Amino acid sequence: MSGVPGLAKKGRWLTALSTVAVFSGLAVAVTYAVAALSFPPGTRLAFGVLVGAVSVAFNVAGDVFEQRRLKTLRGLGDGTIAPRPQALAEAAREVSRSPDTSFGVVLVLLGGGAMLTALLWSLLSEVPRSTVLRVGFLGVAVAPLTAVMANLMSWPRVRVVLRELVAAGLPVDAAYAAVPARFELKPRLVLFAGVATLTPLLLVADMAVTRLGRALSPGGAGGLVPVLVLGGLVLLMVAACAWLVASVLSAPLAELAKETDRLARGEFGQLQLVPGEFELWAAAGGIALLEIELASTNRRVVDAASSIVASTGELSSGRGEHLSAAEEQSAALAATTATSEELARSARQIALNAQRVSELARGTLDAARAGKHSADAFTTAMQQVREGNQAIADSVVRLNKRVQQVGRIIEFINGIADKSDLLALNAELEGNKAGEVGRGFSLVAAEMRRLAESVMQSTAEIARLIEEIRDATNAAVMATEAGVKATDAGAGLAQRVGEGLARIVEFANLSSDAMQSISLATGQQQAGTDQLVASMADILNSTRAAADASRSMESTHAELLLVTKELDASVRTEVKA
Amino acid sequence: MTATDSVVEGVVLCRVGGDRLAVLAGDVVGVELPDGASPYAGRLFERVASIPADARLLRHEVAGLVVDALEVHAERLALMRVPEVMKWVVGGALMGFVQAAGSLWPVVSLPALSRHLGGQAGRARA
Repeated sequence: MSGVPGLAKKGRWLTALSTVAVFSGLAVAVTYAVAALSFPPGTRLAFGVLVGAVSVAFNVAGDVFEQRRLKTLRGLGDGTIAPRPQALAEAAREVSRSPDTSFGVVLVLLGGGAMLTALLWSLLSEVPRSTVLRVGFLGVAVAPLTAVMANLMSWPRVRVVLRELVAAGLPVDAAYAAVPARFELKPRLVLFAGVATLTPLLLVADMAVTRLGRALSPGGAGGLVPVLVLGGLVLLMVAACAWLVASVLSAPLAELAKETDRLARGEFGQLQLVPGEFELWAAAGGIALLEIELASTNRRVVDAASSIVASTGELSSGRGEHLSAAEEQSAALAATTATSEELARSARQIALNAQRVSELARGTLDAARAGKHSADAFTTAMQQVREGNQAIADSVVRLNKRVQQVGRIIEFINGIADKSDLLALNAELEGNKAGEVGRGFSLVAAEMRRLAESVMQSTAEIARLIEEIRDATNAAVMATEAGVKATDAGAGLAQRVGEGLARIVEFANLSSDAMQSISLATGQQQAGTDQLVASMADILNSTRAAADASRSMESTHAELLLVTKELDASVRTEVKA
Repeated sequence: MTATDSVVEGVVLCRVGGDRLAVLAGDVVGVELPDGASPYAGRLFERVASIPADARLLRHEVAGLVVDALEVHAERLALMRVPEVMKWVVGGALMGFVQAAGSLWPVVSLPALSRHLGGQAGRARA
C-alpha cells in the first residue's frame, strides 16, 4: 500500500533542523573553547575527537528518539497506516508536539554532551579542574539558546506538515479539535527573551574576563579576534532566533487577518487551516468554529427565507380560498351551533327522563323486595297449611277406621236384633198357637219383636249414617289428599314465585344501579353538551372573527409578500457572494 | 189356631214385595232365616227379584216358604170362601180370603203352596 504522497519522509524532514541547531550551538561552543580555554599541551586532539564523537553519538540518539515520537506520521508517509481521520488526527497531535520534543532533546543532549565530554577529557588527559568545569559550563550556557533555536526552527515545518495532513483528508475542524490549544505564548516569550539575553551575557562576560586578563599580560593584545568571532556567532544566533520568533508570530497573524477579512465579506464555506502555536492556534480554531457556525446559520437563514417565500406564495394563492372557506365554515358552524343547542335540550330531557326512570327502578326494587318477603311468608303459610291438611287427613283416616269399627259393632247388634226378632216372632207364633193361654206371651213376644225391629231400624239408620259418614270421610280423605296435593302444588308455585321474585329483586337491583349510572352519565352528558354549546358559540365567534381577519389580512398580504421577496433576494445575494 | 168354615184364628200375614198373602199360624213350625233351598213366595207373583237380606223362612214340617216380611195376627178373622173355579189355583193351596189390617189377604195352605212351588222349581231345574 502506497502512503500519502505529501507526507512521505516528512518525519525526517520535520526534525532535520534540530540537527542544524545542534551543530550551530556546537560551533559556538567550540569557538568559545578555542578562544577562552587554555588547553594543556597535547590535549587539543583528544578534546577535538571527544567533541566530535559525543556530538555524533548524541545527535544520532536524539534523532532516533524524535523519530519514535512521530511513528504515526511516518506510517502515513510510508503507507503502513491508512489515512483515516483518526490516524490523521493522531499524526497532527504528534506533529504539534515535535518542536517541544526537539527543544528537550537538544537541551539534554547539548548540556549532557558537554558534561560527558569534559568528564572523558579529564580522564584521558591531564586537564586542570577549572578547565573541565568551564567545558561543562560551556554546555549549560549554550544548550538553552540552541534548544530555543531548534524549537523555533521546527514550527514553520510543523505548519507545512499540518497543511499536508489537511490535504490528505483531515477535516480542518477535526485538526483544530485534535490539537489542544495551549495558552503558553507569554511564558515562551519570557523564556526566549531570558535565554537570548543571558546566554550572550554569560559567554561574553566570561570571554571578556578571560581575554582581558590575557590582554593585560605581556604580548596578549592580539587575542581579541576569537572574542569578536564568538560575539558575532552569538549575536547571529540571537538574531536568528529573533527573526524566527517574529516569523512564527507574524505569519499566522497575517493569515488570521485574511480569514477574518474573508468572513467579513461573507465568504463562508471555504474553511482554511491556519497553523499557529499557543494563543494563535486557539484563535485560529475559534475563527474556524465561528466560520462553521456562521455557515450553518446562513444555511438556516437561506432555508428559512426559501420557506417564507414558498409559504407566502402558497398563502397568496390560497387566501381567497381561505376567505371563502372561513365564510363557509362560519355558516356551517352556525348550523352546528343550532344543532348543538337542540342536542342540549334533548340531553336535558333525557337526563330528566333518566332521573325519573331511576326513581321508578328504585321503586320497582322496593316492590320486588316486598313481594319476595310476601312470597316467603306465603311459602311458609302454605307449608303450614300442608301440614294441617296432612294432620286432617290422618285424623279422617283414623275416624274412618273408628267408623268401620262402629259399623262392625252395629252389624253385630243388628245380627242380635235380627235373631231377637226371629226369636220374638217364633215366640209370638208359639203363643198364638197356644190359644188364649198364650195370648199374653204372644203380646210380650210381639212387643219384643217390635223392640227388635226398632233396634234393627235404628241399626239400619245407624248403618246408613255410618255409610254416609264413611262416604263423607272418604270424600274428606280424598279432599284432604287433594288439598295436600294442592298445597304441595301451591308451595311449589310459591317457591317458584319466591325464586322468580328473588331474580326480579336481583334484576331490579341491577336495573336500579344501571339506571343510577345512566342518570349520572346523562347528567354528565348534559353538562358536557352545555359546554359543547358554549364552545360552539365561542368557535362561531372565533370563526367569524377569523373571517374578518382573513379579509383584513388580504390587504396586508401584499406588503408581506413584497418584504419576503426582498429578504429572499438579499439572502440569496449574500450566499452567492 | 183353629180353622172353621168361616172363621180362622191365628194367621201369619206375609208380604212379598208389594203383594201379600196369609198362612195359618198352625201350619208354621217356626220362623227361621232362609236356607237357600226353600222356594221364594215371590214366584207366586212371578217376581224374579232376588230374595231380600231380611227375608224370613216359614218352616213347615217338610218344607218351607221364604217371604219378605211377616207378622203374626192373633185376632179371629172371618174366612171368605174361594169360588169353585179358583180352588185348584196354585196347586189347590188357596184356602180363602181374610180382612185384616185394612186389607184383603189371600189365605193359603203352607204345605200345599210349598209343594207347589217346590214342584215348579224342580220342573224348572229339569
